[in-house]
Amino acid sequence: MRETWVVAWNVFRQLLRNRILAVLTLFAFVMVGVICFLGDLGQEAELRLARDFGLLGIEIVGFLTVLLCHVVLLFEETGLKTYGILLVRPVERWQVLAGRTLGAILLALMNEFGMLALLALLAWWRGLAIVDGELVVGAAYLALGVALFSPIAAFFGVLASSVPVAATFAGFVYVLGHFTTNLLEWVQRMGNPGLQAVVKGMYYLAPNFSVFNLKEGLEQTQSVPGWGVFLWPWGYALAYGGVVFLFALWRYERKDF
Amino acid sequence: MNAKISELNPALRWALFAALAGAAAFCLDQGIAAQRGLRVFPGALARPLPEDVGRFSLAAALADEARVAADWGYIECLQYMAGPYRDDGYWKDVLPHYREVQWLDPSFRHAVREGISVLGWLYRRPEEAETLARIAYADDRNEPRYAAYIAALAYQQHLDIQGVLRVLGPEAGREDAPEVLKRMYGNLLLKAEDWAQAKAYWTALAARSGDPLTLALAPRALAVAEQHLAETPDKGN
Repeated sequence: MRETWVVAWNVFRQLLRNRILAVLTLFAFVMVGVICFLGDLGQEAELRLARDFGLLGIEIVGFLTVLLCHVVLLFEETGLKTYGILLVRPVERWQVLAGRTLGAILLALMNEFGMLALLALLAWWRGLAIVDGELVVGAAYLALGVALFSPIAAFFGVLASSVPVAATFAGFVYVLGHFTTNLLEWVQRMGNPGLQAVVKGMYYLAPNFSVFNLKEGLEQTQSVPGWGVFLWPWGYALAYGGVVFLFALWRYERKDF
Repeated sequence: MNAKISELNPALRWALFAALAGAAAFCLDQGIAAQRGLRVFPGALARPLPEDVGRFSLAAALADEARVAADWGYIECLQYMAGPYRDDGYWKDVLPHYREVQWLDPSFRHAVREGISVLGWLYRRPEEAETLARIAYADDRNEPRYAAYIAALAYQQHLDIQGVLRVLGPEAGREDAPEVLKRMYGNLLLKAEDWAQAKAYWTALAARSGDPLTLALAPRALAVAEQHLAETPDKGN
């Protein structure tokens, strides 16, 4: 495991050097500005709007961070051939892939934490209770969803032949992963068994990011949430992330550089 | 730890994939069920769709972002009401706008109460306001305040100002009541020529409100009330 952490830490540092973070930090500041503006437009519902758009901003920044990280790593691997040099050292390919996945997660977590801190600063400045326990829990589970996206993006990085193809597929799957739950519920009411089977297959095959969307339930609930609400998303992230990672690793071990 | 997944027996490898995929499917089903149990309101798509629902709202509801879409729809409501639609059916699309917000997120009660208030007393279309109030109340039985609005709208339709004032008095006194309702209540007190009550109400409202329009209207309303009180001093007691 030590080698994996060394690779992850180096990937993290390398991504920092690539100035991705600078662009994303700028984007995060702009997002907070937009959140502030939208909150103002909401007038009497300013607090609600600032919270909701704040969480949306955190999710978008997390998604872009992971996607950009993997795009840059894939470009370096295929275009600059840097991994060819790394792989002659005594590190296994699974350690490289796990390191890349963890490095992107580390950077995404750092960015999400930064966004949350910016929101807290904004809340303090405007005297609004934007950041509270519910928002932090909601943001933490969005971060878990973003962490699951990292092995998925790594999987497409391994499978795709070029950077744009990998980014397009990963982005598409991320968007699809937000739709499948409601699409399935809708199709179930249509009474078409064939269509239902297709959508159900898609529901299990594609990653499901609705399971990490706790914010709405936490805002609505009038009782103490059960443990399942918090534990099942972790189980899903580990199991689905695990199978995608192993599948990616299988292909990665057979890949020629 | 040098075992390679590509060197595993294929049957074992696929069994490993299948076991993990099965665990993922089980966790997903349990997680979604637990999450749905947490929500007070069924998803937007499980409730009747409003007529002419926008593509953005529909896509957002499908993407599990109905709450954010409701926020966006609420901003659109406010923008629409600030727009130049006097000659276009006197802001005829206020009801569809607020109805879409209510459909997306019934827990956005402030927006719904505001929609009822502006339709009922700002645009003077109590039937449309009642439609919105009744749909909102049917979806959200835990909000008894909608019943007060429905009652007040019934009085409004019979032009019974005293009835409206009686029913809406406690509602207008609430801190989280829509600002438009608070102003409307003050104006109804003036219309009912209850000058002493109007003076007391507008004085209290101006003291606690931070809304620029309320603060701008309060001096004018107070001047009217004080002028009438000065003309008929016995009614001030």
